[in-house]
Amino acid sequence: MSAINTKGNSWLESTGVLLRFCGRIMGEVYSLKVFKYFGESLRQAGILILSSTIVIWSLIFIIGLQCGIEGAYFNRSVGSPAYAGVFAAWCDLRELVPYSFGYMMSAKVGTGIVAELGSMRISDEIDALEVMGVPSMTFLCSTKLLAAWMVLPFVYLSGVGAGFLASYLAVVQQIGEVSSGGYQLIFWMFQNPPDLLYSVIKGMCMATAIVLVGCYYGYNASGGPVGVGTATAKSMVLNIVLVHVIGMLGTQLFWGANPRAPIGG
Amino acid sequence: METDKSTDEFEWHTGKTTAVENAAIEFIGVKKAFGRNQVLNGLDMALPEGQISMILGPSGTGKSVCIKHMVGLLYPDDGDVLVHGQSVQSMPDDDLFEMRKKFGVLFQDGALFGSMNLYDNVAFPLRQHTDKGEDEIAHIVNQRLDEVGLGDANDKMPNELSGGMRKRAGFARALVLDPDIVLFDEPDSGLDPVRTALLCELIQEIHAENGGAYVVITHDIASARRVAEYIAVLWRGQIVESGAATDLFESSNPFVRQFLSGESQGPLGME
Amino acid sequence: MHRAVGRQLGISTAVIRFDSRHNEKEGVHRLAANTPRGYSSRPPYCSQPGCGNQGQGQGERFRVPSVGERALMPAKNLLEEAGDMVILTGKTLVSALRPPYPYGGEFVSQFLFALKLCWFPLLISTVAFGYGAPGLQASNFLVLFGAIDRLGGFFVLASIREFAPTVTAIVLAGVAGTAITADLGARKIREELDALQVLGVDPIKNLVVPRFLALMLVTGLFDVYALIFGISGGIIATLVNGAPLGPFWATFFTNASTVDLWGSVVKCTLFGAIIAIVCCYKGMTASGGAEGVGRAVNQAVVIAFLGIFAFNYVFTQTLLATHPEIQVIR
Repeated sequence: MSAINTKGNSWLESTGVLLRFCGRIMGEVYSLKVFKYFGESLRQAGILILSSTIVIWSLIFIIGLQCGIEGAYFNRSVGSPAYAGVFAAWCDLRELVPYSFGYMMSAKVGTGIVAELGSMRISDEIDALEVMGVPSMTFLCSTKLLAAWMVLPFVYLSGVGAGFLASYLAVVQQIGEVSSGGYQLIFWMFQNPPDLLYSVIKGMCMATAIVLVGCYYGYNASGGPVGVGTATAKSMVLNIVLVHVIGMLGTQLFWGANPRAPIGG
Repeated sequence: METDKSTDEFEWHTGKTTAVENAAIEFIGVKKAFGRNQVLNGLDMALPEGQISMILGPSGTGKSVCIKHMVGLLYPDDGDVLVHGQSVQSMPDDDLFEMRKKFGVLFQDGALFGSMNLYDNVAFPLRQHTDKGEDEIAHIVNQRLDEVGLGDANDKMPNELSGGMRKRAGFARALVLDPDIVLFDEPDSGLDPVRTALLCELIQEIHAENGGAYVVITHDIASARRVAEYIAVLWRGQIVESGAATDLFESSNPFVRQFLSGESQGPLGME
Repeated sequence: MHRAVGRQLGISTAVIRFDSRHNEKEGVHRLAANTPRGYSSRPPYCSQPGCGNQGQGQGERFRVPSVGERALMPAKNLLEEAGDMVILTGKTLVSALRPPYPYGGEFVSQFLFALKLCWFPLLISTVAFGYGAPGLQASNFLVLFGAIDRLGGFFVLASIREFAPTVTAIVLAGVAGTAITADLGARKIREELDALQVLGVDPIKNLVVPRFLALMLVTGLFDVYALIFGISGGIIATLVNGAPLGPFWATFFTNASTVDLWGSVVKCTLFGAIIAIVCCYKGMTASGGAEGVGRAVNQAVVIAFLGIFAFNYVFTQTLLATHPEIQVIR
């Protein structure tokens, strides 16, 4: 079919196919159809927890350290080392924790899903499921989305904790120009629960997009083991772009018109 | 497809068909194309109930595509596929999943789920579709695994098994819901002659025990001679000849003769 | 020669497999029969039969592996792989320098390949990142003080020193790195790498070296590209706030220093080296099976990301500590 269409058309067409696929999976979760396979969802959730959380936390931790030292050096240079907390609070919670979460989700979970579903597709396992009368899309894709929604908010929240801890260690223990109490005061003054909520929403939007993209590329893989590898690589391209775009739109939406800082009127 | 070739393209398709009463699966004028590649080209075929049928044909003539049409994984562009008289493509989704429970399919490489061991693989359909308790499931699964000779390997993971064992395990999984129709996609691919013979014997034994329509897709003539009761020869998306196995092996059609004796001289070339 | 890279790993898995075959059957039987619905006795993202509870030796068949063992096994594998990667780096450097130099054509084609694949995702990513993170958040903060002109100065710190290199590295690892792993993995699966060696061609010299050099060069150059588009994200943020651009550029150029620029480019080039080694290694050691190449890509990108950020931490630390003059905001 792609041979007949022009390149632009097939690009549009595949975007449409992708959106329809995602819509169907989300529909199956919202219409509670997926609860027929709740056991499988729980298993997927377990897999997610055991295999991905530690890597996600460690990336967030490293980036938290980064935020901390940049913040400390920046605030030292403007002559207010005590305010390193502001930099850390905003940088961690609003931007870099969602981004690093998105990066590691797409690297670990997204490509993992593509590799798993892709290999099931090419070894006929998905066809085998269908033949045994199990709707494969519900059983394989929707359960993964449900599992992600059940587990990831908690993974994310604890990841935020890891980032905060790392920034604290970097600013207070490593650079050490501000006391622990002084840092904490500023740090907590410049954030509030709605900020945390917005951050979680941002992270969850990224996670949803990544799981759906992974399912799409894996479920529709073809061309043997090599095809699975190519599909995995391709999904990563789309994921990277989506993570950045969602990050930007989230910032614009949640903080674009309202800095939410405890200064001035 | 060039037009000047099509004049003699179906020269050998005499389409001789012995009447099939009581057909399990019927193809009526089925056409299917992938891109510009016309795979099925107005296929008419009926496979009888209660016998082991074989669909034979050179590589790349759409044999596997046939199987996917029977279970509704692919739908025809034109024409219709009937299973026990019901049209597959006009079924709503729920009926389709219901209908598929009549089928057991053995895929080319077994298509065992890589994340489960052998036992869980065979138990999977039972756990999904029946309310049987674990004891009963264990009984059925062990019986099926014993039947295919894998009774002592049920804790192995699929990637620890040899090709022949994977196929036998896939066979056990296909049988576990007592299907009316069992489909085999190239059961002999990647097996040595002895293993192929053993697998064929196993198919015959289990068919003798359980009955039902068995459909085997292959291009291996030796196994066709051994197990087939009904044969359909497929080439270029149409039936060349079909009928009882004994008739086909005596056929006067040059294409069928060439193919069934595996000679290099005849209508079929490398192309 | 590439076999030597994976040799250690290969031997260790072979030994474990041997053990698991010699497990006695009945005990495991009953275990399997009682497992709950959908339970897999293999850890989820683990393709080797040696992982998890199957890897226990004889006489230990009922023992569930302790948490410590479960946690340490991946760590041990990781260390072995890290060692292999260091060996591969050494070999790559040596064969890059030692004549003959047959990799010119492959180098150019890999360079163009990475360029073609990455320019668009990188453009979107850097503009989005620059506009969102440092642009909007910092300008929000600076507007409160009526000091939006300081955004230019902030962008020197944020974009040149941190975001441009890291975003470039993320995109290059995710786009070009995964493509390299998929490509080399495909060749491994199709036994092309073995065929090359049989023909007397060194895969490291002919495949890894050109990719290594091309990716280093392209990542370094893309850093400048990312700088330009990252800063244009900042410009958009300034304009959205209704501020003139003159002060933005003024503070930008008073703060920008050559140390910042070379630091950024050198850092990014080294990121390219990390990505190339990790992705080539994972591609060349992809194992067979349907999942092999996909799994290799998955691991490659995870390791590359962790490696990039760990290295970034060390590099920033060193640069800031050794060049205190770049910390002064003018």
